[in-house]
Amino acid sequence: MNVLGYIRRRMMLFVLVLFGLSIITFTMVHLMPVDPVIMWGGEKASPELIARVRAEYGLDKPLDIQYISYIKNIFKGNLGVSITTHHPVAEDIAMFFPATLELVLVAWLIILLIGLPLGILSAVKAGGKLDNIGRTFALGGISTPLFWLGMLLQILLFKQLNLLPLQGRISDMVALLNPIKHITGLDLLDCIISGNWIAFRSALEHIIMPAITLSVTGMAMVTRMTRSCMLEILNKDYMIMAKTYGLPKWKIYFKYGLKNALVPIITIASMAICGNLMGSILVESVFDWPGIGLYATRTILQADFAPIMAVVLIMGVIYVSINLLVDILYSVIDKRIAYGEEQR
Amino acid sequence: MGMVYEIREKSNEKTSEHPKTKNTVLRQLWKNKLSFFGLVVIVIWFLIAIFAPLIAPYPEDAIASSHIENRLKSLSTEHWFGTDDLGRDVFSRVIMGSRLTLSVGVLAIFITMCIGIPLGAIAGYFGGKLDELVMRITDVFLAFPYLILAMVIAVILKPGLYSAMLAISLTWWPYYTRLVRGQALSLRKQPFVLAAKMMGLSNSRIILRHILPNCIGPIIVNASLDLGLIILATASLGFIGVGAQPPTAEWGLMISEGRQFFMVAPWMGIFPGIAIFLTVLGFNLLGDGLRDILDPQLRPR
Amino acid sequence: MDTMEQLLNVENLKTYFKLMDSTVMAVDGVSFLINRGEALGVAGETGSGKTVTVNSIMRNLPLNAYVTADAITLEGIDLLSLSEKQLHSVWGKKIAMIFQNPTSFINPLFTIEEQMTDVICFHEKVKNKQAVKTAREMLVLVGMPDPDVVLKSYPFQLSAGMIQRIMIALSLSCNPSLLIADEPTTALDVTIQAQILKLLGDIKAHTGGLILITHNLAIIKDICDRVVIMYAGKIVEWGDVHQVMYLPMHPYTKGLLDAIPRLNNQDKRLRYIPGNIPSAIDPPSGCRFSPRCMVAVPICFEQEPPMCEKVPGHFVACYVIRKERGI
Repeated sequence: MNVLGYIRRRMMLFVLVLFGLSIITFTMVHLMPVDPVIMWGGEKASPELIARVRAEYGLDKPLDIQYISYIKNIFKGNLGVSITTHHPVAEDIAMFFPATLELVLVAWLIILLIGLPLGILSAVKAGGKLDNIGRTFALGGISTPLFWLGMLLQILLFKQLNLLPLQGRISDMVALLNPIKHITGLDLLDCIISGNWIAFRSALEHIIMPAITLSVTGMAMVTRMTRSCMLEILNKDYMIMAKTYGLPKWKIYFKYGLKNALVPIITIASMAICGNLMGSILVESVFDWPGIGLYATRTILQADFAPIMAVVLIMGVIYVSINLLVDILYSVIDKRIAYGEEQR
Repeated sequence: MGMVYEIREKSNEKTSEHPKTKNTVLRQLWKNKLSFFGLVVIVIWFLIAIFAPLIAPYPEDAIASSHIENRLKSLSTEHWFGTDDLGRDVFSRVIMGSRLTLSVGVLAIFITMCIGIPLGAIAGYFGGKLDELVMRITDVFLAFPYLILAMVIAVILKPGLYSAMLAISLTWWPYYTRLVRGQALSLRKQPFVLAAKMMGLSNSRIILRHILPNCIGPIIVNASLDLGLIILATASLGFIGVGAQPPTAEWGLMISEGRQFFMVAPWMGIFPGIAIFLTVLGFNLLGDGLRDILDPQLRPR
Repeated sequence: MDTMEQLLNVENLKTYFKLMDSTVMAVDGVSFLINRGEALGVAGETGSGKTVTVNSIMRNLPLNAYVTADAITLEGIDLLSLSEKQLHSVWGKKIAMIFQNPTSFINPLFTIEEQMTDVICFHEKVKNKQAVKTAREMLVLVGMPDPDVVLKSYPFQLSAGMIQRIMIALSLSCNPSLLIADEPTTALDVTIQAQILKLLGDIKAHTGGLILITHNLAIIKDICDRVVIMYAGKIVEWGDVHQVMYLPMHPYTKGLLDAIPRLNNQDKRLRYIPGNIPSAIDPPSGCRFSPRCMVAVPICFEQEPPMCEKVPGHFVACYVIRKERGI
């Protein structure tokens, strides 16, 4: 079985999709209802000025040449300039991205640590009380609008009980008095590394509500999917075989069942993190969490389009990369996949 | 692309055994209490939407009106859900908003299916290069998180409720294309399709009369589950501000407006959210029940 | 009275499944026994209860199944009274089972070596190295070419026939007292079928006893010493294989044997038994076979015929035969 060959083929597909991604983003940029030159020039700019600026930025060249320079720019790290922040978009994104990453990862951990065991337990004890309660909650979880849930948590935990802060990533006082030494960009991690416990506590307080909000829908989906996948696997013939040959229960579940379940679990986990990435757009809005989602939504409402196009591109690339990683992992666990590709 | 193991809790590309008649479906739904409850909830919402102007005490509040003197009043007998920052009756706006939510949801899924299903059928049936092309395009669309793609499209189309609807349709069709393509791909090798070809039936005839009817089961299951997701997506776009624009009484927009006043008038944002929750829950329950009936091999026993 | 050592004794086994609004009587009072060194064939149509019978002995049934019996003993151990933990030590060690569809009964993500050594290590309490040696020996025993290559392979790289051999090897690796083969060749090509059957016949010497389940009477003749004919959850005839196959007494057995297509058959048409097997939820009163029986008499429809020994070692449950023999 040529696992490496499979990886090679898969990488080619990856590049192809990235190419398709860039075409779509490029098309969307050009479909934007606002002419960037007029935005730049303002309403008073004379036609000659407009024409000159256009020529200078190569905006009067045919589309395919524009596309090539678009791609070249991306590789150079030039994603445009934001009209609202007056900074290069690339810089803004570098600043905002760690916050999104932290939020997405924390929510992801919550989802996996609670959702996976719950789903497995639900499947093993199918039909039991735990199962029914879990399924009810899961159903409720996927029906709840993220942004509404966030607001509800704010009303409950901030307004009524005054337990947690309303928004932001860290309280201003703490940022002033105990600034975090930025190493990874993930505040919680940085605080632990540098031993800054006051800031850690503040960062933790601030991340709880957004992370919980983000994780609810994901947890619901993960529990449901894990449960149905586990059920399917537990009823497979080869599991019956393992049982009839007398292998002890723990071995059947943890060695055989787990490896077989690993493939769908990887899929579920990757879907959870992609879902988190998408949900973060909404959650960051509710909690004023300074991530790329907030960046994109705030700027788009000001008719500043370069940021959102960059965010779209980045999210697309992340999605596709996660898919690639997942596929490579599959081919290592389940050799049939690499084998199957060769057969074609 | 890539995601070899599709876990969207859908069928394994098997043909449904025999078409279930409407009566058997309804009867089986009745047996499953939860999904029947979902059906009831949805029917109630549709009735509310149809009779909204009669149910809402102040239907004009849903359009353009303002009663500043009455603003931010709490729950009372005249205003069951209180009033918002412009003095409008929240209850009426929620009721009237159901019309928007449901019509946009249904329209969106309809458009989605109109784009996605034919594409999928053609791709799966004809196979070869055409199939490759369609699948690559689908893969690329699916490579984006649908919400952000919809945001951009909504902005391109000029923000508004119907732009949002169109935007969502334009991001959602790939799921149906993939679904139908899978079915068509496995069906086109079946003997009855070959027999139809031998009889000289045209390709479009075969697709319409033989291939598509076999896909109806999974399509219906997905549609009812997707309606819930589409409603959530529409509300999300409204919340962000690229969907419905003020003064429309769209639930997502209402929550966004309510957010600004959550300290003094939490009811502004809470009730529209409850409405969204109940509607989506109804569709999810119904969809789950339908899936148990029409895709029994996936029933979690 | 048997002087040979009794291996498996089943008395009055009844298994039924509780459905939402009805109960399926899959097995309704089945008794038989196997002696050490014997091969018992269990024949019958689909739905006759053959698989459920062995699964009841194995206690490998879904949750809505209820098993009652006067006795199910294997080498003196009462299988009914065992707890789940105790069952696990019996399964694989004392009883091993081979299933119909070999490819789905083997785990696709693990190599043959891993799966075999897991079972061997657990039951024989040996170290991995020793287990690999045993596995290899077993593969050689079942006639597997290139056993070392096979051990390192994954199931999808092997053919169905090879996997069935592996299953047989796996079953033998712990020296079980009883080997149950449930339609082991039904999913295989005819040529492979012959090989596997020959293998099973050879293997008989290595196990204490063999139960071979099939709907194909022809293969029972080659391997089995005794045969049990089941119909609709009951045994209608059983005894020495040559007696039953050459001098069948029950009308159903006669019908089954007649239905085997023969090359020298003068008739142009295939012989068959008209009708269908009865409902397991609502079986007919009296003899289960009576609605389809050509020679049924009134009492057949009213009372279930008891099992009686017509010829030493040959039992049948039929009123018509009783009449013929003047009992």
